[in-house]
Amino acid sequence: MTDTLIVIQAASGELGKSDLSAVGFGLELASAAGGQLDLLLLGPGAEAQAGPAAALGARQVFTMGGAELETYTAEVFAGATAFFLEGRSYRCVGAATNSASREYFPRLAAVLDAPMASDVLEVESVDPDRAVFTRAVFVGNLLATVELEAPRVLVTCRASEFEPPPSSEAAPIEAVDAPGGLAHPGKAFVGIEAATSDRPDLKEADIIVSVGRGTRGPEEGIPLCERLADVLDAALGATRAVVDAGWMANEFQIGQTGKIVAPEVYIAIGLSGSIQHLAGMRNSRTIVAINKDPEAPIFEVADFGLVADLFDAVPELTAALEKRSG
Amino acid sequence: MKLLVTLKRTPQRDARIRIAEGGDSLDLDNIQFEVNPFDELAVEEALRIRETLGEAEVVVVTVGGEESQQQLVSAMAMGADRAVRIDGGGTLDSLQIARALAAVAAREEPDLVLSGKLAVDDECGQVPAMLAGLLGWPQANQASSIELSADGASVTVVCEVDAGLETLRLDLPALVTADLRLNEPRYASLPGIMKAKKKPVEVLAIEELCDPGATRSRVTGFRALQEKPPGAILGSVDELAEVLVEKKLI
Amino acid sequence: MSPLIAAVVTREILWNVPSWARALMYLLFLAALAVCVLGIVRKVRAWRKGRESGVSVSAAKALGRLWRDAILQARIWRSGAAGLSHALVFWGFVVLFIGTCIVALEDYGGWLLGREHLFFTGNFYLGVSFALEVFGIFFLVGLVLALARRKAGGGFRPLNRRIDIALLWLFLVIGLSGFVTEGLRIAAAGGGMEEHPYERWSFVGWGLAVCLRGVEPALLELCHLAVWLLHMVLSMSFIALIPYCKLRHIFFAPLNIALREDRKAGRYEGVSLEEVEETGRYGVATKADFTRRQLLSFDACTECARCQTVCPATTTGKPLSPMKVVLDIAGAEASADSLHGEEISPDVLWACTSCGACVEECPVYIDQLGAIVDLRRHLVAEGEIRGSAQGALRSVGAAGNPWGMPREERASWSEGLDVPTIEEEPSPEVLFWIGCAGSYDRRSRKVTEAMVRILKAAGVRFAILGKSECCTGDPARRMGDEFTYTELAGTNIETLSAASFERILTTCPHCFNAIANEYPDLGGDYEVVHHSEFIEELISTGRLELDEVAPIRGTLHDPCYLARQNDVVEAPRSALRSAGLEVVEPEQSGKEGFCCGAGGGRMWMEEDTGERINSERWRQLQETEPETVAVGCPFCMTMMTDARDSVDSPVEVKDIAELVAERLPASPS
Repeated sequence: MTDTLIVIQAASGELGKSDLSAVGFGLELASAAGGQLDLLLLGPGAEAQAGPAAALGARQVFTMGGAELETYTAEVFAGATAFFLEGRSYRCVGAATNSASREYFPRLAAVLDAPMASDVLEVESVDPDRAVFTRAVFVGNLLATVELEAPRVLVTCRASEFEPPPSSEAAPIEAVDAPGGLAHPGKAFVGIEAATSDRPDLKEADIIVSVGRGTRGPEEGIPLCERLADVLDAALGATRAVVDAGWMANEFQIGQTGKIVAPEVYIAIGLSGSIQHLAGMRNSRTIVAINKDPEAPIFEVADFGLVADLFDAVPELTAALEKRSG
Repeated sequence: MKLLVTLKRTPQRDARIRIAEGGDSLDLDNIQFEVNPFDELAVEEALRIRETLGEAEVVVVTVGGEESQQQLVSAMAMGADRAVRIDGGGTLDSLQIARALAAVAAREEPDLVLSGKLAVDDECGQVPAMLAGLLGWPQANQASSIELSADGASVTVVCEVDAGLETLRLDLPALVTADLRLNEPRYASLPGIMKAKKKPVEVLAIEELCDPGATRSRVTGFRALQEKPPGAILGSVDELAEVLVEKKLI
Repeated sequence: MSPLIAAVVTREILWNVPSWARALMYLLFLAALAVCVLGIVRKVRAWRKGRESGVSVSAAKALGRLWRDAILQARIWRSGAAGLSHALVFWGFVVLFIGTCIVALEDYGGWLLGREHLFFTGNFYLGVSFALEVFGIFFLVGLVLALARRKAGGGFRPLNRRIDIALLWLFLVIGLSGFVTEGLRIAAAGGGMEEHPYERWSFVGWGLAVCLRGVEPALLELCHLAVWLLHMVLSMSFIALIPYCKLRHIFFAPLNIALREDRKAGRYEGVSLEEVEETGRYGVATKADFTRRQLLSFDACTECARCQTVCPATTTGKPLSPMKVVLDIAGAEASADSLHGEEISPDVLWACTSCGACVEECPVYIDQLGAIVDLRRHLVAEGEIRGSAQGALRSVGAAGNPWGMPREERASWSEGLDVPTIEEEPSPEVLFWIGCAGSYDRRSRKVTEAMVRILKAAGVRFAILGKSECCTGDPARRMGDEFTYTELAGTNIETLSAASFERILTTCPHCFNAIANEYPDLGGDYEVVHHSEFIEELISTGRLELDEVAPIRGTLHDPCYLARQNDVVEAPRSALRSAGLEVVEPEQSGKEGFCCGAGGGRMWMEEDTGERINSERWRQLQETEPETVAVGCPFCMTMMTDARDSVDSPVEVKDIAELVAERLPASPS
């Protein structure tokens, strides 16, 4: 009971960046517990992804596919994982936090009668009867230490906090047959509509580039900011003044009467920072402000300020970041 | 039709939470509490379903001490018909809470259980899916729309998943969790609160309902994130790019 | 014909009216009276379904109000042409009505006493005849003016144009037919006009008679009877019509003027929590939830549309018209389930900025704002307040400020400024009430800081409450959440009553209004002064000296809650002049100022219909070509600054305190 299993939702396509980080997380768990890491790939992409997954430092890679696993549902995934775990003993069963693991992992925990830690940021220790993790609470304002006391625990991780492992020797791959009757008779998958925007949603984005009146509109400064947002994979936001001017649609408005956001990084460009706007973004982890007016109130809340003409600074910053991310 | 909404008492959303001296608990002395905002969306949705049906019972349930009574009253002020409070005594983990709720669901036999997708304090989001798992019911997470079929036997739910919007059809009984875009909750005004105070709240000890088992997950300490340094005015774009990359901000 | 007829200077009443026509007249009169009384009774019955409300007006006061606002038409005069036309019609009507009464008295009195003449003879007859001519002309001129105004269009948007114009024509025909009847009588009665030269005093009728010289007397008599019949029938229809159209204001407007409650528009009627607990009723859902006095006031509406002409919401294309709300309520069935619906929708009710312009403007003292707040209260009771407005309400309740900023940071602005708290300065001359904006809003903090500099320069002993200050409850109350208001006000009254100070000073007119006008109802009686008044006082008493500078051109945007609701109009102007501003008045200023758009909870709501109110106000202010726009309210500051920025104007927006602080003499170093 020292080994770790990481479950990966293998849709079609390649292994995702967060899957790689989950493997890195699994290696940390395994080493903390003094055991080995196995991977379980579930879904139609399992076989195709098994090869690359096998080269990430795991002891063994299991795959499970089949008709019932073709489309993800919480009931099927929880059932399949539970089936796989029958007769196998793992200290930790983990996955990357995503919209699937947010629902099927707790369901699995109930089925297995195992305690669970969600979206952990750090692995503190994994002893035989106690596993300790650090996770964020209160909209990320505090860190909490969570102790799970059980021989088998479930844990999901925030992928961005863990490094993908370096490639290593290929591990063996074993296909496991899925049992029948996993699907819940009362649930039907109707369809999925892919997200239309190329940019992340304002509410969920880690980084937001927010534009104010100082950008002088869609013909002048806003494209520069969009360019920066593209490079950072950031969402685009705006002040009420920008929305009022008709430069951007209502849905982009951040502030008391718009959306209230709290990203990791908030980059305020050409906006002065009225209280109505601050009320919508003051809980952002790090605030960066670029404004040519040194008296702008946004500088009073900014962690990093740059007093500069955005028409010079934004393209420069975009170029500099592009170069660094290479 | 009967709708059961689970809810949790959480600190008021604007409140600034501090760590108590010693670091193993939170200083909640001057903090006001409210219904977890996501649970409030679930209450609102239940009320809307009742409004479209014309007739349905909305029951709210929470696991917590005497102090959670206020949040049940708030939900009833919004329009819920009655409330159940499970008095747990001591710290309970998600699975224990889910077990207690499952026992209430078994007694109440609701057609639909609605919950918030997570609680804004611990941000675990475990209880609803655990509850669905314990009940063996189909579940849908992070709903942005819920539509009851004409025959009242199933719901069509649009869920906000990472890849976009997923549509599911669940036969009742089922469990659905609410996400931000599901609706805009109504205001629990004082006239409503006054009426709500006359609505029944059933209080049950957790042992009466089920064997909750041992507490196997607990928070043993808190740490503040590094105190924000005072804002720095940087000299150049390069410096800014440097800082952003160095601090792993991007 | 005997020349003796002219021996008595008078006229034959109901000359040339055969008995069948007289009978018809009495019949129609009785019918019209019955219809009219029935209409009034129905209205009164509808009022009686409302909640009871005591009337506490002394007879002397009521008569005084009637003299000023009914007889002298004091409020109506405020809008030029409309005031003139109404006053002419009104006075004309009143005198013609008195004339008719005199004639009736003479006729029936003579018949009762069996005498041919009572008093309607000689000089009295001539005098009355002359007066009736003069006021008859007033009446007609007023009507023609009113028709011309409608022809010209402009700002007047009556509810129903056709009825409105038809009524004017009805009056016009009644008036004209009166004169024509008179002319025909003078021409034909008693052997013709030569026999009654004294009838010259009825100069209009005389003039008409002159034109009719030479016409067959029989034809004249026939025409006279025909025109008289027309005049009589139309007059009777008018009587019957009164309660069924806007003419009802003839009865109800004076009643409302006499019985109205004397209450500032900024001081809302409280709600008893016990009553709500008992009845479960809060705010107005049905017509019967209004008080009787309110229901009476809605029936007093003259449909003059002045309220909507001055309403910032109506003016900028929002769905709200205060007049329409009043008329929708007045027109609703008393038995109807709910007043709320398509006509009185949440969008209509939430569009109000509570600026009180409608209340200030209404010539018959209808409290449109009070009605809107009562209706809003019902929405709050139903939970029908969502989104950002609800968020502000929650924050006010939970964090003590509408932005949800941390309580403990309320006094952060004062760090390093050496500002004493009430604990450090226990009996100050003034307690400086900072307000939420002044505490948290970075722009408004500059105003707070400027005020601190002024207080220090003038050597005023002052203190702040620090963290124990919290929102006055103003936004909650304006949005209709009486309970959150009562709670916050209660907390503040407790804090204030525990402190000792002479006066409360505040830079926020909303705080000012709540503490000065509304806290007394909850037992908190304090003397409150707005900073513009206080600065003016410091200057005029010589405590504050300012540097002389070359004047700059500026204008003042009057805060509604200062000028209109609280009559503080001169002090800010005087303070600004002392600060070196040449104050140029915009068209709408002082008590007639135009709202910035942020009152009534609008500060926390989206404004997505029509023009923005702040932009409209900014445009108005720019007509004065100012270098500086002075404000005296943090809400106005936000709204005017936003409006300025949206047109990239270089004009400064500054608070009075900032403009004054800039002129403080440099301290000797």
